[in-house]
Amino acid sequence: MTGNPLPAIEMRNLSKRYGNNQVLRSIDLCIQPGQIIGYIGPNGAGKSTTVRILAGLDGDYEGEAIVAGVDVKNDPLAVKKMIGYVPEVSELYDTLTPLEFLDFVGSLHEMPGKVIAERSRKMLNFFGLSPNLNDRMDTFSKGMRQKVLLVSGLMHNPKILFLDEPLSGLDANSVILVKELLNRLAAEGKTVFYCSHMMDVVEKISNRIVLLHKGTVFAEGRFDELKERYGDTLENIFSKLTGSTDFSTKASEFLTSFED
Amino acid sequence: MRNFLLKIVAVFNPFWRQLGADTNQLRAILNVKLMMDSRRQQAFSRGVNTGSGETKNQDVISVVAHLFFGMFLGVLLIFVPDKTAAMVLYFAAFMVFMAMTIISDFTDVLIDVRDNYILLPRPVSDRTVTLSRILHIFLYLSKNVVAFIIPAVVILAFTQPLGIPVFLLQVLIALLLVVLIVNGIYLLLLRITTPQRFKDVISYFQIGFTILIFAAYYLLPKLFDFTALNSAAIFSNPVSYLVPPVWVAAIWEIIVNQHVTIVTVSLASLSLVTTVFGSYLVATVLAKNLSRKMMAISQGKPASGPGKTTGKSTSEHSLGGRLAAVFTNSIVENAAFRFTWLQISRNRDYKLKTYPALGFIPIFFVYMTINGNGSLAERLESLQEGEKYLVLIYIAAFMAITPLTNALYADKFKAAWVVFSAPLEQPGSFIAGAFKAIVVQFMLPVYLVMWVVGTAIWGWKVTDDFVLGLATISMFALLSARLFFNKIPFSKPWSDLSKGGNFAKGMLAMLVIGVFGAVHYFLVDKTTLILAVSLVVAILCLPLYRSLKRLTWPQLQR
Repeated sequence: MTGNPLPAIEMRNLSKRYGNNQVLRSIDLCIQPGQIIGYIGPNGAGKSTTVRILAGLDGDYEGEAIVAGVDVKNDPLAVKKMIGYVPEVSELYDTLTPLEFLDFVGSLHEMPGKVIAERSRKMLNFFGLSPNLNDRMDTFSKGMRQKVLLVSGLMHNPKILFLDEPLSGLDANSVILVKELLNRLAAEGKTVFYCSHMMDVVEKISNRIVLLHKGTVFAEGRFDELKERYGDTLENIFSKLTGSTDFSTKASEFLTSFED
Repeated sequence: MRNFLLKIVAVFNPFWRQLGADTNQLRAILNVKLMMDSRRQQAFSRGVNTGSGETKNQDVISVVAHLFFGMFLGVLLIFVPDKTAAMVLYFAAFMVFMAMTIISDFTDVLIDVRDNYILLPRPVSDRTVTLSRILHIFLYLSKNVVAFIIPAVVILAFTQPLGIPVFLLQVLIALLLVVLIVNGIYLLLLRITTPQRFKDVISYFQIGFTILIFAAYYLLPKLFDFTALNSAAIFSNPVSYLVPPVWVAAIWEIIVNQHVTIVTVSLASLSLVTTVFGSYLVATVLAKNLSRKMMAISQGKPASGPGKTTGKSTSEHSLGGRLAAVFTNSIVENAAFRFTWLQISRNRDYKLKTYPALGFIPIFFVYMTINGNGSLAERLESLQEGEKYLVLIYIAAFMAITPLTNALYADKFKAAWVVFSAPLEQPGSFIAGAFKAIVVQFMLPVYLVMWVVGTAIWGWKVTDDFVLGLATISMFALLSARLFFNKIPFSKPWSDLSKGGNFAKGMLAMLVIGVFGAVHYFLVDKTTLILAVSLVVAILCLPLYRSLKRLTWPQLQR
């Protein structure tokens, strides 16, 4: 690497609307390689939309989105070659076995068959799926599918990773495993763009946290910076920022609905 | 088999590359798609559930149906003396058949939602994706095609063995033309409409196209004089130049009959040029930005407008709610009625699969009136003398079978856990409620319209026939429900519905309805007997209904 590396991800004035619904409102962000970005926000904040734009899946936006120096709008295919994407929806061709599915995905990335076979075995083994290599995925649990999905996003060794709720459905041990894996990947200079609304995970692994609320960046910085500014854990920060703190009253209100 | 097909595809690799596809990726996609097709069938024949070889049977039915119709049409090659004219008719039917299969059974392949999450995030170009779709359909169809053309090939072996290679070439071109035309229109629609509206537009388009195809098939014989049909007449009539089957038949005229004229050569080359240029157009111009459009469809977020409802729909005052109150008598049945009513009125995937299958009904209507000779008034008069109202009566029976069987499937089939986890003692009452909603939404209104039309044309004398008709098609609907609708509605993925089975099941139903109609025909004019039979049939309906309503969990096919 040269002295002044290209930013891994750059968003300039990025906006997106569906009809009358403004989902993203001019987002500006610059992310350096080797960082793990925790992109968090409540449901419907625009996290998945951002990721879809950056992954070259949605060209209908305003502003600029640049991934490793490539303008996403101009050359989505080049972007797709460099990145790994794990979508929020765990859709798989589930009549296939994990090996067959990964062989397919690897082929789309033009990986040689031998490399695919070796890597997918190793990676599936890492997630403890060795006994299921030749089982059809329609019998898999949500967690097992998620593991296959993670492998399919990682196996071509992408420089930049977009993970949308990557831990959903995973058991505690797998969660620790994935966290550790992400740290190692970042240490190797890979960029991880991590979307979640589970704040406790994000605060532990992210170098930098971006808090999205109603399509704008509400706060961003290192976890300890945010902590200094707002105190306490991220969860409290989160609720302070989004302005809803009185959870106890809300819960009581919920219970009163039982009274006819 | 899969490897064999892939090898054949690979033979044309330079051509695919010319079209801008990545042949390695193309191979990978086709490999996986074909593998999944074969798994789908295997999953059923493995016998996880007892007696659920349905998909496989439907596959067999589909092949047999194609064999049968191939035979029926192959006979044309014997009885129409002018072989080129026979080819025109044969390929017209062939192309209609294949277009129908694509439209009714293949929309889910053309717009596979999973592709959005699996293929689109990968570095695969739009051209490769488009081409893989076209080739997938092409390869899938080839099984039915083989069944369809076997009789014709056998006949040719006896009559004109040297014509067989030409015939096979014609089949290939005709098939390519159909796939390209349907694909091209789909892609065109994808380009000119907004993604949000695409699915609505395409369902209307499908209905329209189905009607058009039926119309074309009924009108084609009218275009030419059927009895004096000969190639000279065809090739001198400029209107026929617009009909793709004529282009295909021109190949035969040139090679086998050695009839080389400007017209025949132009038409034959038109078929080749259209195929090549069509593939180019579809793969390049139309496929541009396909993936983004596709993604937008599956995201499909109309923030305002059609997605919003008045909020009344769940209450008892909505149309569905009021009908539910009339037609059901238990809470579960009522709930199932309202639920199904909303599902079948709103689910795009359901409408997309159901309405096109019903598109031929207006054609029958028109066909009946324009058929015959003389002025319109004379034709109406001759219509009144006949017993064609029987056709009107039994058309409504078709409104039962497809809407019913389709209601078992849904894109969001997993949501059916709600029903499975609910404390339902007798799922039969849920199914009965769903059944009634479908009958009330589809079959009943059509039948009433037919009744009004029938009375308008033939007068009050047909009232008894319509009473019997109501009884018989009710029985038919109940029978279909008991045989095919013995599952929780909307609980199966569409992939479980055998791709070829849809059309074949319709054919089977046609046969049964034909038998009903024939029996009815012998009773015509015997009013008392008709009313007596109606009563008997109506009484027979009761135990059928009861057995549907009393279905227990173990009796359900999961």
